[in-house]
Amino acid sequence: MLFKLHTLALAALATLCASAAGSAAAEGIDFKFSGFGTLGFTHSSIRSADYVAGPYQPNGAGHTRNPDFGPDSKLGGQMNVRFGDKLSAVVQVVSQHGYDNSYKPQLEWANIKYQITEGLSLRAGRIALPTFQMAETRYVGYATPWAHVPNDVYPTIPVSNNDGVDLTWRGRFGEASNTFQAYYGKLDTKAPVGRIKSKPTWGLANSTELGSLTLRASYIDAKLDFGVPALVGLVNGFTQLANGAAAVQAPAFQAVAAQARALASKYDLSDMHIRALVLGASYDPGDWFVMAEGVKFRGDSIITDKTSWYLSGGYRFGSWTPFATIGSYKSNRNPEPGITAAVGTPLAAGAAGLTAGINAVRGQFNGSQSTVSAGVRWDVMRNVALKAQFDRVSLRDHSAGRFSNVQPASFPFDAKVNLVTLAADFVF
Amino acid sequence: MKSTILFVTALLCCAAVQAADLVVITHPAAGTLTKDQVADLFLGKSQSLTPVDQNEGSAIYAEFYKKATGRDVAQVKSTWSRIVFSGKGEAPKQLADSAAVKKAVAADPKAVGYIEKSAVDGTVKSALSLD
Repeated sequence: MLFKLHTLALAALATLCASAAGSAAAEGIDFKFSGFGTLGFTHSSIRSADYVAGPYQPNGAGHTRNPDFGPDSKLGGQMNVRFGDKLSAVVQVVSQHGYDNSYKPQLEWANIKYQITEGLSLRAGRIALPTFQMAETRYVGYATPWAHVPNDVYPTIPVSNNDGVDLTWRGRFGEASNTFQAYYGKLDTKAPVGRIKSKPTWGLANSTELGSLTLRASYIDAKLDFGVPALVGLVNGFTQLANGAAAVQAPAFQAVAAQARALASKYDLSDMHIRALVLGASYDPGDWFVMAEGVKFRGDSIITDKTSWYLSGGYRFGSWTPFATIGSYKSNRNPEPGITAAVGTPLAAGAAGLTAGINAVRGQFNGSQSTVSAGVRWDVMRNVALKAQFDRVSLRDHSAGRFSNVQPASFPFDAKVNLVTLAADFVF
Repeated sequence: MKSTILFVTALLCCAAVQAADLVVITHPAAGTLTKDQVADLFLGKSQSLTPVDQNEGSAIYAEFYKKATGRDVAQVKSTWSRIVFSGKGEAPKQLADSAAVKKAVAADPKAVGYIEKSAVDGTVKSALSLD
């Protein structure tokens, strides 16, 4: 039923919009259109890999183009409709460099909100995932001090929306205001590597504001079906090896069969269970700000456990806001030992090939890096901010970090990469 | 010494003249507000009342946010863009001038606005003075 929700919400929204348009003079119906956008150019110091804003982008700055406006440019439109006191709806469409190398607009949100009581509201449809402090505005450059959201942390949970229901409860406790959210739904997304479906995605988020201080904690839990044909073929290789070995009635072969079967189950791509805990804090009294966020990510199958964090601060001198950020992204990169029982049997070569394959995939999906960034935001006129940012990315653990389209022959493993980004953000 | 005091007094007078006194207004039936409550309402942190804003290009807008929240126009805009584009709320409706704000507040027991002190009359209540 849940996967029909977003279609239902859309249909309901269309009906409501139509009836609203039909009675333009109707009281209590209020339309509001707003939009945002960023034109950003990034130059990378290396040509042997692409800087991308997340795993949904097929290419970016460095190898494919340099400089490139793909990673950080986007355009979004949002329509808020209010039907009296209790009912409202929002639709947001965002165009950005997507999995299919196009800028085809994507439906980011489409949900209906019903205000049950003053503090309690229920939403149904496509809803923003409340993972990070800036998760809901991760595409709205104007709403952040940076030229791009911290790349060590945000791509850890690259998805930004969920199709389902969400219950939000806002309350005040003395001086503090608290927002608690619980959500349940599913997600069907396409990445350059293939189609990724969740069944389901659920989570909780709590945010407490006390004056200039905001504390936030969120948890997300998803079961993924990672439908990438090449990877499915590789994991099926373990099952085939297990079946072949099991047919031979010798203890050595039976041991290989048992290990191969265990690995086929461990790397099962159709039932990946991933979880993440995100803790964040920010302090923003007006003239300056500091914020920090950390993610503890528990992976499954080819996605390993990760930890990522950033700490950022800035000072506002009138319309100028210089800022600096440090961050780190670290994955478990211990290699898979593979089918150790196969050593010395006729199955050794096949087993070693599969193990090498799975380790190559693990290496590709799980990188480590750290970043030091400095930049400035200039609020040049109302609704427009210009930004310049320098990122120095240190590649770690002989990985490609967050970079994609890596050309291994010339890639500077364990070295440093410099990125320079110039961006213009606007809202209307 | 005397001339220094005179000079300082003159400076203070000028500063007072330059920045007109502002008053946060509510419906006559509503209670008074603290500065923190006003800041929360106009920065989207509280929904207990409905803020009614002045035009964001006006001088009174910039002065109100500086006095009530300590933020300049760009920071306020950035704060609201974070709220609006996270789907959590809508920015206060901006009205043309103080007369329009006063009229809207007088008509709505849940509304809160701000106007020059000199524009206050019996139709609204002065909930907080910002000077």
